[in-house]
Amino acid sequence: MPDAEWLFDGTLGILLLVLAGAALHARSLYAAVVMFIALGLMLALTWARLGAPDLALAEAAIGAGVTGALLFSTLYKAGMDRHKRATPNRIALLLPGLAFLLLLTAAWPLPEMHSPLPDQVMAHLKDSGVSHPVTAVLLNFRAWDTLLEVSVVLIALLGVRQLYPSHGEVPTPWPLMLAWGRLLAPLTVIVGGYLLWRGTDAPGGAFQAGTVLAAGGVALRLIGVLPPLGWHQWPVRLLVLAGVLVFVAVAALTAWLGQGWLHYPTGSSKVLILLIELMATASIATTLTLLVVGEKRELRP
Amino acid sequence: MIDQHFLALLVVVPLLASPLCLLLPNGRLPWLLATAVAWVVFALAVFGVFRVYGDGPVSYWMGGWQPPWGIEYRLDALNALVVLIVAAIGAVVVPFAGRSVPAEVDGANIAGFYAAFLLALCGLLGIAVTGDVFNLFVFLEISSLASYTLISQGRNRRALVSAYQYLIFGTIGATFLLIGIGLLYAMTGTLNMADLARRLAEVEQTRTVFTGFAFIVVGAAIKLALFPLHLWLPNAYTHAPSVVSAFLAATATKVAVYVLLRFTFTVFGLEFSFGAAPLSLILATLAVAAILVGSVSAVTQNNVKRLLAYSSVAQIGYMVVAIAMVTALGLTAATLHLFNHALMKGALFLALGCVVYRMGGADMDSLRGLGRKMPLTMAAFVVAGLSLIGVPLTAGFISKWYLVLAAIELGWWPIVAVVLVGSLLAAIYIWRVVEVAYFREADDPARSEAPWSLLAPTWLLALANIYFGLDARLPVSLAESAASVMLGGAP
Repeated sequence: MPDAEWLFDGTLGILLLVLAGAALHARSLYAAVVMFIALGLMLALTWARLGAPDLALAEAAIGAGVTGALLFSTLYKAGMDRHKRATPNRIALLLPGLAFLLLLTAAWPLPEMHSPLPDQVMAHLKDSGVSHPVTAVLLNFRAWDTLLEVSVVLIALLGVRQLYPSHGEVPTPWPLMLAWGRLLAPLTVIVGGYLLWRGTDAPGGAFQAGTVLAAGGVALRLIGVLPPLGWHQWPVRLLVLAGVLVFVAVAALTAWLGQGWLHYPTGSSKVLILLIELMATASIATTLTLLVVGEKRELRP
Repeated sequence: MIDQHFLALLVVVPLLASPLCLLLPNGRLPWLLATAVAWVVFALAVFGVFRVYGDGPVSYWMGGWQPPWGIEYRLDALNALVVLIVAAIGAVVVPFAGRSVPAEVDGANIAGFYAAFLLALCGLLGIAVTGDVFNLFVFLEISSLASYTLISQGRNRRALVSAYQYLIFGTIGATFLLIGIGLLYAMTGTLNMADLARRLAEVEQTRTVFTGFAFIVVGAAIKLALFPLHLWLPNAYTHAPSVVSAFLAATATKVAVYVLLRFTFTVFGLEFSFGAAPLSLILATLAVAAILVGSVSAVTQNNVKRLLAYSSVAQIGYMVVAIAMVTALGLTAATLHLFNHALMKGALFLALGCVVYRMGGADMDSLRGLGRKMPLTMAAFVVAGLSLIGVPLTAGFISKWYLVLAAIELGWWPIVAVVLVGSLLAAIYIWRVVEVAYFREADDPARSEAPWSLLAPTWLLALANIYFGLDARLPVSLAESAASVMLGGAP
């Protein structure tokens, strides 16, 4: 039924615009963050509608989930309502408006173009060691970009640590949180593990799995099951760095013993990709947990 | 192994060393590692330059996957020059950091500081060597995020605000570039630069490609701080730790200029970029404004770091006006100034680093009487300052000479006048510093020269200004081959 689809997509598009506007013009910062998270979820739906489930998962987990959590914890630190919103400068609004119009004329209509890349990727899929084309691109054909992105996550933590070294305190958890946290955490391990494992032949992968695991980590930390995590603890530091180090080590070994930098030997591609994904998941999960709950000490026993 | 993989190693060595830095305890060890890495990278860069000039462009396939679906690294005469500048400045600046960083950065953050520094180095080198536009964006992200972290480490609390402003501007610039790259991908289905250049030829007269071009040029202009998009630069350079100011002033904007050159000349091609669109006129106008506004603002500054930052805005103007000429001579002047400006600004900011190390600040007031208190430091400042003005027998003279020749060749007489006015203004602002340092009395006239570990890197760069002013064969031949690569079309 094409009409129903049109209705759904049209509503989704309008909702996106409304939520974006609401996030910009909300009365309080708290409301703005809520709108922003809602926008992220709708954006994830949009990606799913456009046939990009990998993007949808990443957007839901990172765009809406982690970013929202980070914004909320920043609000908590900065004080919820002490900051009055400045009225936006009208001239400043003009520039994004112009850029938007320019983009609209460029993309309307975007000519139908048949890219040669997907065919080439599919043609070489059997050499890549995995059967999901997105994973093949991310962890084999363009593994180098992914390695660099893992280091971007590391820089984020580095920057936050440099700027915010003091130890804040975790608020006392409310009863519901205590009850649900214990249930939630094991679930995140299962979901995260599934996302990671399925990543080789279906949408999913290290970034999504790491984010889900981090959610469990944060929950456990907030209800006080996990001990305070600190950069001075060696296991924590190693876990954060493991993703980059293992990735670079694999790359260096392939350059040293094999045919070239990140040139996986045939046959062992899948094992190497899984190893890299596993370590990257652990690193991303630890890094995001540290980013959200910081290195705060406990209030509760 | 080196011969095969040096292009990858150039980026991989700092990338690998960065997490290792974080495993080391705060203290001397992270610095030693960073120094070793910077020197290895410099050696690799020199090797690369020799390879390119010996056997022509070098191509490397990441993971052995053939471009366009794999990532290609490619070194030709243009980016070999940029890689050499970044690596050389890195190799000179890191030894300086050994003494100056512990004095300016919180002791608990030293390991993190060097980790971020190595990532910034990795990102800038990566932008320069990659032949893939999306990979270029990823490196841009790495170098920018690392730069924000480094700038925020300044002792002054205002460093935080400056880093934040830079973050906002830088993110807008990077987003513009990404939108542009996305539009190009939508039109051609490829990300490899050489492949893009080939495929764009078929679709270049479409609105989408024009829009992509506009977004990429504006994005690059923000990153290279072209007037009036330079607003992030003065604060960032003023409040960053001395080493960071020196490193970023000498390399970051140069790499952004390279991005502009690479996109306009290699990816879009000369005819598209400068034929149909009035880019040449726009760039020349903005560059003239940058030279005049930057220089006049520099004259009125009271903080010498900020003075030098505004001077950078003006110097970028010289490079961009030379690019706008789109002649062999003009492009030679632009790349030559890229090289020489790195030497002079590096030396000037390092000399100021010595001043900050002893006096605790870079206000005009704290420079009083330094001609006698810190004679060697101030002498280095004067030498590099003369080069900045463009006095004969210094490197700065060579690039201004080429710039004026290129302008005369085209009959662009107003540009000649602007260059002369800019040089006059440079003489005024450098003189202001000299006057305070040599003709005012210090409160405490006792001699307190900076330690040799700070003076040696400063003087190395200052002397390079003299050396390349006397014997300019190396930079001129590098710049001429770079210009011929740009005018030759395909990489």
